[in-house]
Amino acid sequence: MVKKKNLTRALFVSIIIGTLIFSLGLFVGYGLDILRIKDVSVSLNEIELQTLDYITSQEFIDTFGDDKYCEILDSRLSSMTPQMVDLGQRLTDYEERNIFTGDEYKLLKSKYFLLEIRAYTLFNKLKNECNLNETLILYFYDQHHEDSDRQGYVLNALVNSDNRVHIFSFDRSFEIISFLIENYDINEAPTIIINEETKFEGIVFLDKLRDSIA
Amino acid sequence: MIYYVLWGVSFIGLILGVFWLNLLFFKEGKRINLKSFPYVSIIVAAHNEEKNISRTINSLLALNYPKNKLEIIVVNDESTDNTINIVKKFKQVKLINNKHKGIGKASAVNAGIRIAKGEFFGVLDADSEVDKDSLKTVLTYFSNEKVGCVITPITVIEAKNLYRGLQKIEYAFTAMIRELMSRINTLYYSHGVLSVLRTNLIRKLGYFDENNLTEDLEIAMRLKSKGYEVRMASKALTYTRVPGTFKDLWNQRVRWYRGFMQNLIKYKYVIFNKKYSLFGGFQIPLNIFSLIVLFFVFTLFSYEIIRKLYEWTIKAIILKFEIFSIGDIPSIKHLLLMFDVKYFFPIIIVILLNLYLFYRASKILREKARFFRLSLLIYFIVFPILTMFHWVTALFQEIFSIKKKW
Repeated sequence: MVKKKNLTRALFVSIIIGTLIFSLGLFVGYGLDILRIKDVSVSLNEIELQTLDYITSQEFIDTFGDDKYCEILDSRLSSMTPQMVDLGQRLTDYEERNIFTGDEYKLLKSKYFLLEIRAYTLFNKLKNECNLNETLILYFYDQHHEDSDRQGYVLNALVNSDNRVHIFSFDRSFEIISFLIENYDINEAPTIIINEETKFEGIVFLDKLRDSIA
Repeated sequence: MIYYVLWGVSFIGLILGVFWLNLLFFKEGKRINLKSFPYVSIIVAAHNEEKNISRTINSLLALNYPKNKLEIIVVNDESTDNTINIVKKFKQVKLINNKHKGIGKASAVNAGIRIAKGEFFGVLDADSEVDKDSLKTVLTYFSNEKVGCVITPITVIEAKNLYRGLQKIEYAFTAMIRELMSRINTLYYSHGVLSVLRTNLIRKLGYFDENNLTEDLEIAMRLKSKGYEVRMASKALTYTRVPGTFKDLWNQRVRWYRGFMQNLIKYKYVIFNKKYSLFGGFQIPLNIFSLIVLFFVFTLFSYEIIRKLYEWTIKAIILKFEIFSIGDIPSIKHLLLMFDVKYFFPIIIVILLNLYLFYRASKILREKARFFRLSLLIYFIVFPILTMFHWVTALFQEIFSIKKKW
């Protein structure tokens, strides 16, 4: 039979080992947080580089001329948006699970929104200059908001079914996009702006969205 | 919220898991080998057991124990099949009929105890069998006068379907946990697959409780409450057949858990009572705490699953099932980064500890530990859920005093 003294020692050892394992979990968790930050940063840098590449290409073509101006730039910009959507999805996934928060995360997300605004501006400019048949949608959402989540499903479905649709999503709570909020007079989430013309406040379903972009 | 609860539970689970594992490295108390063989009576309560009774009796007759020191008593509990005729063929077996009716098999066992000549008596269900050396091994534990009951690790035989397969794994874990409980003297279970008790002690304590749903648990708790020890003879192997259908398993478990609740209320005075040392101060509170945690985690998970299903339904309705998809398959890197290690690391360690306990349990039962099988995975995922439903049903039936024919 185990003696009481040995039992107390066993309990004490168990608490120490348990706490050590638990701390190791925390340590590995924070290690993964660093990897997540690195992962998002690398993607942001890639998008930034692509944007710079686009701007440089545009200036070059503007200066030296090319017959296929619209074609070249459209394909470059179109290839940039899936990467942006993918990064947005990753940020949302991390956010939903509350596994990636804090100042660093906010900073990266702010940078992501700014890159989105820049891409949106460039796309709009190209669309007007080249008369492209692309649909550009600005989507304003709130975090942990039921209708915003559902609007997200609808917009995802729309993008998946039509590759001429490009979504640029923005979290309303971020100060850095306040000029957008003011400019488009965003008062509730979700709000959708289609091609700078149509504004929908509240959740909009697939049929209605398709009608408005037809 | 759910993750924080899970985190807290996994932390406590981790400490307890390491604690139990620690006990594995403690040496068992000394036992004295038998110098003389005491007279032992084995009581087999049988109710319509024509399929199994021969094997049970044959295993008893094959015991490596002096035949003149062994008495086998079969108590026929109102069998309507061929059980009696089969038993009559065994000349070495005493056959009696049980005339008292209780709600379980206790009245039949009591009938056996009344006529038992043995200094010790063993209880063996009519669907169970014993290893030839089991009785000898069990009796060595009685060298300590404070030991009132010795139980054995049970191996499930004929585990040919999933329900039985799951119970086989469960019984292996149970054997391991009981062995560890035995080492720190907090074991308070006995069962019908060869539990051996002191005859005069049980007579003095008033026999088995005939109005109890789990009379074997009750007698063990009674012994503990009177200061006696219940030990586990980990090397004495025994074998049993378990329910093979969902309904039978459900009924058995609900009866067990209702019995546990009734006995917990009956012996509530031992909880946090210094007189009962680790049994009252650690083991019983731990079991109650585990049940509360199980219930809490179950409720949270149910809520989370229902919420997800609701979301998926809404999503399907919104998208009119048109382009509803589960999305792209994420990359390994993405999956790894999505994995929140700080919550799941302790849980993974707890699962690994459990697998190690399973390995040790398999060694006790002299079986090969097979980790890569579906039933083990189902055991970890489905069995806790099923167990929770059993507990909730048992609680519901107890609260509303639902009477059932067992």
